This record gives sequence, C-alpha cells and structure tokens, in this order.
Amino acid sequence: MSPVPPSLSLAPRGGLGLKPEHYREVHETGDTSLWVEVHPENYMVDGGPRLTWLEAIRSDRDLSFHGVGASLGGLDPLDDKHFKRLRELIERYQPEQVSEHAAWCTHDGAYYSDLLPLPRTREAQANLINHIEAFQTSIGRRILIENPTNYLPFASEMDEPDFLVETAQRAGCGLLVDVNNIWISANNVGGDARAYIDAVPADLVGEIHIAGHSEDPNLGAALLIDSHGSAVAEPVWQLLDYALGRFGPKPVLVERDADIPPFAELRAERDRADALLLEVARRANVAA
Amino acid sequence: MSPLEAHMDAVISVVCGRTGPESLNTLMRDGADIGPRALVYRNSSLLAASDALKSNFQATAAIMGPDFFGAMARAYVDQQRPSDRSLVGYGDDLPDFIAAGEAEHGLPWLADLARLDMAWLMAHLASDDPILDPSVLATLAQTEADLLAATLLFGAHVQIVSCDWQVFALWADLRRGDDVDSERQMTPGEQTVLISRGASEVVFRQLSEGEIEFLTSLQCGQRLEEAVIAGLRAAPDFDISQTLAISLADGLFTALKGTK
Repeated sequence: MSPVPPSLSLAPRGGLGLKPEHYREVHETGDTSLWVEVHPENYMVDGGPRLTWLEAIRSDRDLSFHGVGASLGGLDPLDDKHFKRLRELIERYQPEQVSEHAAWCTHDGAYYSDLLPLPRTREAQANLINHIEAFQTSIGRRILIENPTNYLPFASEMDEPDFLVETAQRAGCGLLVDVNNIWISANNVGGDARAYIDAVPADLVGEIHIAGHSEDPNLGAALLIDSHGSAVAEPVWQLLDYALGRFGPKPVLVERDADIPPFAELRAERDRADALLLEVARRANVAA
Repeated sequence: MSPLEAHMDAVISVVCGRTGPESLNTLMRDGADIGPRALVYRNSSLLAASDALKSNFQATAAIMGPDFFGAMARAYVDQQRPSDRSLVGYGDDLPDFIAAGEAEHGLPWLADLARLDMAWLMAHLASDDPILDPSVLATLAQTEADLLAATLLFGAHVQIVSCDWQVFALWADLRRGDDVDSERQMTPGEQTVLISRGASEVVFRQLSEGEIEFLTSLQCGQRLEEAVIAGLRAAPDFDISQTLAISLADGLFTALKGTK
C-alpha cells in the first residue's frame, strides 16, 4: 500500500469511539459517513479478532488513531518499540488522522496509565515541541495534539490556549479541541470556556471531541472528572455549538470509554453531533 | 534537577501514594491549598490499570466481585506498574501475585482461575499463523514411518495450562457468562486444559491423561512417535488417531517438520 499523504483528513461529520461491544453493529451500519476512532494501543497485538474487525470496519469508513501512550510531554526518550508498533498499525490501516495528547504518561521508564499534567512553562513547551517533531518524523505524518483536562491550578508562565497554539505553530502540528475538557477545566480551575475557544485559530483545528463527565465522589461538582462514562452533558453540547460557530464544520467525535451503553444510544449522540455539523455547514453556506 | 523534572517527580510521588496530595501545593498558582484534589491522578491511574486487569481476567473478576477484585487489582498495580504502554496484555504475573496472597484471601484455587484467564487472553491475542491443512498431511509425510519421525509445531494461539485445583468447570461457566453457584466447593486435584483459537473464537476443553502426555510431548518438540508412546504410557487405551484428527481439525498445528 502507498502511504497516505499527510494532507488527507477526516470529513467534517460525526464519529464514534469504536468499542469491541459494537464491532458488528458499526460494521453493519449502512451510513458510511459514520467514522470511528480507536486508541492504537488497544490494537498493538500480534493477531486475533480485534485486528480482523478493525480491518473490516475500516474498509468502508474513515478511521482516526488517537494515541494515549506516546508521552509527548514526558522527559523520557520516545519509546522506539511503541513507535515501531504504531508505524505498523498506520501502515496496515492507513488512518485518515493521527492524534495524541499534550500530556505525559511515563517517567523514569515506568508507565502510569493516565494523562498527567504539564506545567505551562517554556521548558515544558520546548520539550513537548521536540517530541511532537520527532513523533511526526517517525510516522511521516502531521498529527493533532489534544488539550488536557485540568484538575489543579498549576503555576504557569502562559495561558493554555496560548501554550497550545504556539506549540502547534512551532511544531507544525494541528490541534484536537476537546470541548468537554475545556468545560471541565473551566469548572475546576477557573477561566472562560468561550474565551478559550475564541483564542484558538480555526485553521489549526483538525478535530473536536465531546464526552460525558462526572462529579468527584467526595468533592462533588467542585471537581469534575473526565470519566467518559455517561452521556454528553447539555452545557458541553452548547459549548460544541459555540465552537462549531467559531471554527466552522470540523470532524466531531463522541467518546465513551466506561459504562458502555447499547450502540443505539451512542449512535443517537453521534447523530445529534452530525445534525449540528450539517446545520453549521448550512448556515455557513447561507452566509456565503 | 530541572523544574520540569521536579514537577514530574512530585506528581509521580502522589500517583504512587508515596506522598499525600498536599505535597503538590508548592506547585500551585500562588501556592494555593488544593486539599485532596491531587488524588484524582492517583485514582485515575489506578482505575485505568485496574480496569485493564478486569478486562484481562474476566472469570477471576466475576467470581471475586467488584470490591474484592478491585482491592486486589489496586494492590497489584501499586506493586507492578505496567511496563508496556499498551494494557492489552497487562497482568501476566497476576496469577503469581494471587498465589502469594493466599494467606490473606484463603482461596488456594484462585490463582489457577487467573492462569486460565491469562491463557485465554494469550490465545485470543496470538498471531494469525497459517494452520497446517490436514489434507496435505499425506503429501508431507508419504509413509507412516515418515509421519512418526516428524515433529508438529504448535501455533502461538495454543495454550496448555496445568491446574492444581479442579477449577475448569467453574472457569468455563464464568467464561461463557453462565450463572455459577458462588458457594461451589473447590477440590484439589490436577486438571490440564487446552485453550486455542479457532477460526475467530477462543475454544477450550479439559484434556484426558493420554492427551496431556501426547500434546505436551509434541509441544516440547518430541517426534510424533515419542509423543504417541508417552500418550499410551499414560493411558493404554489412548486413541491416537482420534486425538490427532481432532487436533488437526482444531487447527493446533502450524507445520510438520522432520520428514524426508
């Protein structure tokens, strides 16, 4: 197979995080505008049904790889073994898009299975940029990086939108704007969610995520958790509407990683996002 | 040490439970007192790894229940953080961890259940090796002597697990999602289970005495003749033809080696 040119991207439609529980239903869905996203780490296996299913599903719909293991913000060297497996998956499945996080998950060689917080400092930014550049060189593709969920008000040298926009411009990558993360962060550490979106140039945005969140069992609504275990909250839908108004139509993914509901339930959320996208496109055409 | 390295060391200390959440106060804007909030990172890290264990050890998790399994999983994660950035195969030494904790949980058969779960996972994730086609066996070994002198290679999708307790029936019920009697009494006694992946699904069955010796001899690289002798020694009425036919039909072998 010939490599996909870096300029290829997802269509601005609604997508779903692909769960094994829904392989068959997604594969049998006639609507091929429904694209799917996976964590490539879950497919770093030697063989078996999950690779076969992904191949079948990918054969008639767009696919995005959303990595959680590169640790681009970390101080450890990038893991050659991890990148080799990622390159093999990219070669096999030719995803339209590859994304990662502005966070870290390894330290001194150990993996901590969480997206841990970076301080927004020049030192952290320079390290992140170096790793994004190395990542893009390694896979031969431009990637997107996602804004983190903030739980704590770390001392910082710059605001998060400035930090991420400058990082993307200097590293030559794009941004994946997680609207749920923006909402949670504004709740947890303060800030204006709409002003955050206003500060991001539309041409840097390659994808948008929405997901459900939950309240901390001890601290309640004072600390919202990015749990991906419930339906998307109404304020997040409203913020998505605002973001699409600002950015124009972009691929929107509904994420769900816990308490997986029946496919029809997730499909309804995806269809709501898709309807919003079509409405935004219609408004843009009318305005033009 | 750079400020970024110090930041990471401090966060990891909280994630690992070596220091309390208040230890991050010095990293906050204006030195803000964040109370217990920083525990979110420890909880999220433990939850992700524990959820991976729950997915990888489904029968073990089902019989233990969420509280018991969750507590055990968190203790394991704290002791044995993942070394790989993919959690798909995480927990390969969880059975040993469970065995070492027998004095605390008092369930000497639980480690066998976890061993079967891990073998199921290994079969499920194994490479898609080309399977030896039974119809070409006669071509590869033209005489009976040729066949007996040959060795048969197993695919990576084949796992043979020896248990010290008779847990197979319980494990099989749990894997199928059947209701089980949580008060079921386990008895000591050796059982050997064959777990392999067919066309798409993982299949499993308990092996007879003759099958155990025959298949483990082949797995150790012995010639078919030696494996047959081992099988017959263990069970004089061992039916070699039937076992070989079933093994070929189940797709256990990837190649026949050592023929002329």
